[in-house]
Amino acid sequence: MRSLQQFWSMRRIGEARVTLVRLGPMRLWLARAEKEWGFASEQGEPGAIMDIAQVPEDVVPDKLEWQNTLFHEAPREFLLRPVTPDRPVVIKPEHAIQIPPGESGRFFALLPVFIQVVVVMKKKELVLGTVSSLRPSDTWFGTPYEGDLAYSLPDRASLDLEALKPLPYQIVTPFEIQNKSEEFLVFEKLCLRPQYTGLYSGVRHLWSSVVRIQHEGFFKSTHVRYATTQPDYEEGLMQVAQPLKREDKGLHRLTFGTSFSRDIIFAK
Amino acid sequence: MIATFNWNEIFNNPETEHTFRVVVYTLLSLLLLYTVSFVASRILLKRLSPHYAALVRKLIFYIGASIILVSVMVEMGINLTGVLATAGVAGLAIGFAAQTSLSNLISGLFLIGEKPFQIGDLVRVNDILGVVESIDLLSIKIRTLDNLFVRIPNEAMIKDPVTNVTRFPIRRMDIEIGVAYKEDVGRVMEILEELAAANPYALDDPAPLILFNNFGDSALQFKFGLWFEKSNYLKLRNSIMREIKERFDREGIEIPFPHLTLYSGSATDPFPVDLKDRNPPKS
Repeated sequence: MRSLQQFWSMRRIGEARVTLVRLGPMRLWLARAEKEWGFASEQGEPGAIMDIAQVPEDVVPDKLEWQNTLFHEAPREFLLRPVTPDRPVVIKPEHAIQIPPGESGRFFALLPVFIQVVVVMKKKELVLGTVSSLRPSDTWFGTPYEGDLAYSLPDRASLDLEALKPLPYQIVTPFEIQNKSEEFLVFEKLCLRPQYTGLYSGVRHLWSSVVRIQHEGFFKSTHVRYATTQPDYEEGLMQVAQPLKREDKGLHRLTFGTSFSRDIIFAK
Repeated sequence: MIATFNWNEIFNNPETEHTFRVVVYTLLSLLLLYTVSFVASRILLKRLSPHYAALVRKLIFYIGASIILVSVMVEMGINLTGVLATAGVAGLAIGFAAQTSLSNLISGLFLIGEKPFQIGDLVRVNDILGVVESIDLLSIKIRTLDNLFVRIPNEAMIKDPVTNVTRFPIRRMDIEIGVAYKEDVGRVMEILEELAAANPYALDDPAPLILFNNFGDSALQFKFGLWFEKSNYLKLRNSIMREIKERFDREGIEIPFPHLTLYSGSATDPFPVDLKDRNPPKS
């Protein structure tokens, strides 16, 4: 497949046929019968692979856990929709980074994409389920008494996008940290909430909208903002998913400040 | 013949009018009390669990009903001095007989105030481990993990240590591992780190604890502590134990049985064995 953007287009599947979708480590098996749709997934080794092909039934592994949906007449058309991970993700830089007062830093993080299996019946879309391209490890962001269950990313955030070498199953999330305080900042970790970002497909990989962090001082506040516009790092981006949630921009935010002020931790 | 009521006669009779007034007063008071307790429980539902709100509602109702009863008795002209004197003596007798119940009741009130656990929490009381099903004035009810019903008096909950297993969102699972003395300690610790990083249910933060704990009688003892989200206990336990065993087998790391080595007095000299006749005579 030449472009990742083709991956998200509508397709048809015949009856009693199996389609194998390979995206990075994900192996997604799709099968359709006259009155039934089924899908199953397994994880392989991470890589740059990106293809969709119809395969004979006898190559389907035996030990898969299938998720089946019954229909009066199973729809033929389906599409794969990329979505952001279903939990917050914790991002750490590859090494300690200091940001002087008045300066800013731009980082890039790689998130694994999650894929929704969507069938189209009578022009309406029905989501059969969601699978992760890569099952990240669990982590906790917060104290032992309260916090968020999050995903831990296998790759550290980097200043250099080229050094990251993003693969087709990865979402590149740009985030900027502006130090508006009078002290040096050492960025330790960030809890990113992907449901507030939109998704855009480039030729080789996915992008999310930009996250902006403004730090005004340890005794003032830190604001984390999720932009709603597409990033400008690649031309010809195609929006493939809207943010699942929107930041509150009304009176609540003006009165109480951002609800994400604890999502970034700076070492002191 | 159908009797007809003469309302004038009824209300002109002081005694009847008084009784009617007392009945109306009682009914209106009970209605007001019911309304107050209902509204109070609705307000408390926003701050307390449904169970505590229901308990407080019952308390308000019983105290209010007692006040109404006393005021009705006063209104009816009943001499309370005698009643109170009798109640005092009866109360003393009942008090001695109901010490345990009173203690449980008072303990229940303390439990309501302290809130060491809520309905749905997994708690351990002595050797009983189970889910709290209800918290009542005299006891709490627990359903054990093998589906047994246990009633624990509130007094026991106040006197004995109670462990709330699910109070906090994350917990640490400590696994004691022994490896043979011949093994490389550094390599064992590296492998345990890799296992923790690879298991999706083991949290990366807080970091796992890998401690070379002790020189045991039969093995080098390690403590392997993995943090996990409280609902993933079984998934982590099953997966990590299998992964430890499989990885140790692959790396050739021995997990020794408890054993005792006998020396004859020197670590190098063989233990002397005197071999008698191989075919002992049959008796």
